[in-house]
Amino acid sequence: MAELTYRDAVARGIAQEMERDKRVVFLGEDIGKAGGVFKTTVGLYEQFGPLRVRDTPISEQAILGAAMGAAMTGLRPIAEIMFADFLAVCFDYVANEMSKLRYMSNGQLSCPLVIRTGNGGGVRFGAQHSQSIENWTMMIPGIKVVAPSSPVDVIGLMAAAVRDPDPVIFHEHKALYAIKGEVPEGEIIERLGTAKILRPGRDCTIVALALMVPRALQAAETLASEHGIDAEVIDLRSLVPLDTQAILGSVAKTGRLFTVEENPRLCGWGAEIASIVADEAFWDLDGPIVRITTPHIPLPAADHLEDLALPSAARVVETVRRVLNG
Amino acid sequence: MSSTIIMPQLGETVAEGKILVWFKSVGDEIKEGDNLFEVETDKVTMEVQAIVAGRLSEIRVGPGLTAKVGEVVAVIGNGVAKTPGADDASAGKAPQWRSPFEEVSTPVDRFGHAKGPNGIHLTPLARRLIAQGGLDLTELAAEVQRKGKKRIDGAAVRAAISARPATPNAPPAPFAPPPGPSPVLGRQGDVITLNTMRQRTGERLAEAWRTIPHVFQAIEVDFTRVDRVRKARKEAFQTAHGFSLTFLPFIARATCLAIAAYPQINARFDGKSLTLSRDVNLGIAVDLDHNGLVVPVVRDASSLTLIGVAKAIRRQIDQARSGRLYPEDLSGGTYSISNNGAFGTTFTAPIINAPQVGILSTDAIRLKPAIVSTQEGDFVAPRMIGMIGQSFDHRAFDGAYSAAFLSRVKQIVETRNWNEEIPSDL
Repeated sequence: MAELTYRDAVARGIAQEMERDKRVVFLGEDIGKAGGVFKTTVGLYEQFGPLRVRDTPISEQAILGAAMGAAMTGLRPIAEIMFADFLAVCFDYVANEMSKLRYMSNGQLSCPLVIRTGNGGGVRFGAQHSQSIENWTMMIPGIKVVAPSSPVDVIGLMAAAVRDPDPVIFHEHKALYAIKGEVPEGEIIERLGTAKILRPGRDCTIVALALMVPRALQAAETLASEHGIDAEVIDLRSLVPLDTQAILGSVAKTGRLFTVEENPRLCGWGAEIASIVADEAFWDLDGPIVRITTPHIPLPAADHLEDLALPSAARVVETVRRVLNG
Repeated sequence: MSSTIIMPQLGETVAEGKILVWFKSVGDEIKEGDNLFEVETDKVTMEVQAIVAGRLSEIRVGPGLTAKVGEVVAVIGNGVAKTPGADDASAGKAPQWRSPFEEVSTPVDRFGHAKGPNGIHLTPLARRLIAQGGLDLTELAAEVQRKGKKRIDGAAVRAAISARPATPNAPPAPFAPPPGPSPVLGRQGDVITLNTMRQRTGERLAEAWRTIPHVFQAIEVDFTRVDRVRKARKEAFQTAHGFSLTFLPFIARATCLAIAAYPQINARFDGKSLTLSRDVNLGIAVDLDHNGLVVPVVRDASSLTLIGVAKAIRRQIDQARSGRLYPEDLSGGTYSISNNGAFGTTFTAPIINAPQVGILSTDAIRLKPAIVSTQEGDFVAPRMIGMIGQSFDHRAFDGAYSAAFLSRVKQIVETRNWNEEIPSDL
């Protein structure tokens, strides 16, 4: 099987869908000849031409407004918002317009579009370009939210997002662009709302997303080899829809739940999961649900402070060990 | 709407399972995750849980009967008890309607209070297991408090359930040990019918004994230093982990380390070739109160520290004794250890668990007079001495290789700095 970077998987995922369906178009800042500021879209302009791969002015509202109009009139646009933080600039489209269109028009109109965006920290971009904002998007009724952690999932979930009849926000993680993973040949398609159990275990469940997934896996290996703790690691992949069955099934087996979240603690996605598990799986819980998150702070730009703020594998190991072995 | 319940796939090579007991009756309300029935295969007994909710409308395969994997054993539907052969489609009418406000389904069960006698805390899981297992909370609370703990958790309840002597009138406990003859193996003159697990074990052992040229070797090992470390750290370990540190983890750890130097010990033999395994997946033979033998596997044991291996072995033994092993726990072993020390035996020549090529045996470790060489001359001194033996497949390798391996195990047990393997803060 060929190895592909997460970065190259983005381009391959988009190309797969653009080849399949002529209605799929792609727009954003510097995504054309420049190949994207993170080099995630190299080759698409050359392959599909300026009509289907469009550079836009620096205006997030223009990008999403154009994408929404295109989606309403029969195309299947993919729009890039370079940094996820900038979704705040065009939040009206996200929160009030595209997410409510199907409902407000009584099903006469729909908005099948994908917003790709570079989410998350760890790459020294400072407080306004490093936020992990998946929880902002998770809270809006009418929007689906995915965040892949591996190259193969980038392609499969991109396909699922493009083919979905409603708007999907696709969080790519900036600190994962360089990672490599095995990717099979041919068409890859996944299903939205399916989590993946990456490491089966008995003693506790660790739920993670995006950049936190490799860290949780690394922590699980250390917990097994150094502390005799057998952790099950679940990659959520999708926040909306949420694979509650995978989480509840795992907690039924282990009795303990940890979430590893890059978003700040207050109202992070793990809070919702903790709430669901505390409710539905109450009689399976053998101890408190523990959330491991970035603290509720603007993310520092200084290397050491940023590293300290984001949950690390070491922090996961330490927290799980302390809570389980007390 | 009705859903069928099928006999699940219970392991790669398992074709059928025998239903031992139904925990639910026709007409019972079923919730997702409820234990439906207990099934026995030649390898394991396990409970099967419901993955849909509804009312149990039909049981097609009753207790004591066998069903093929994939066969329908029951139907969950609208709860109208049906006669066999009735039309499936009539089992349910309207799909269950859920209110839009019911975004989560809150359980309505109650399993007692969060605080028990003397203010001891109970985790939700512990409360459910106590209620379902019919345990005496006062007794359990006293036991847990004697150990200096302030909280009853799931592990404490499972331990209590598995330690409880089997009584015929006990309610069907969710974690009941495999059924069969009671621990008192009948009176003289009785005929004992072996349960499926024992019959299958017997067949496999006979096959291994017939086809493998077994050779047994044993070596005397001085455990005095291990014993000192064990005694020095005993209480701290017990407090930290809730069980005592036995000799077995030391032997398992030494075995893993010795295998690194003698990899042919950790292999599969198919008559023509010996395939060396990358990981050491260590099978630990566990006696189920004289009611059968299972060999759960500790995966990648060589990656574990002494503490890690101790915990992993303990977990697998607990799971085995409480009947909670999954099929995957019993497959993939690459080497095995049989521990017979509890009854004071000197050595045991075990039968190889094919296609593995060797099995280690350990027996009693006790004080014996031994010759100790010092600069002042040789002395007789009391030392902790035990035998470590190995049965091996002579087709896979020869006696000298096996002997060199045993000698390496001995050397590791006797000379390794075991203190370094136990973190000082434990």
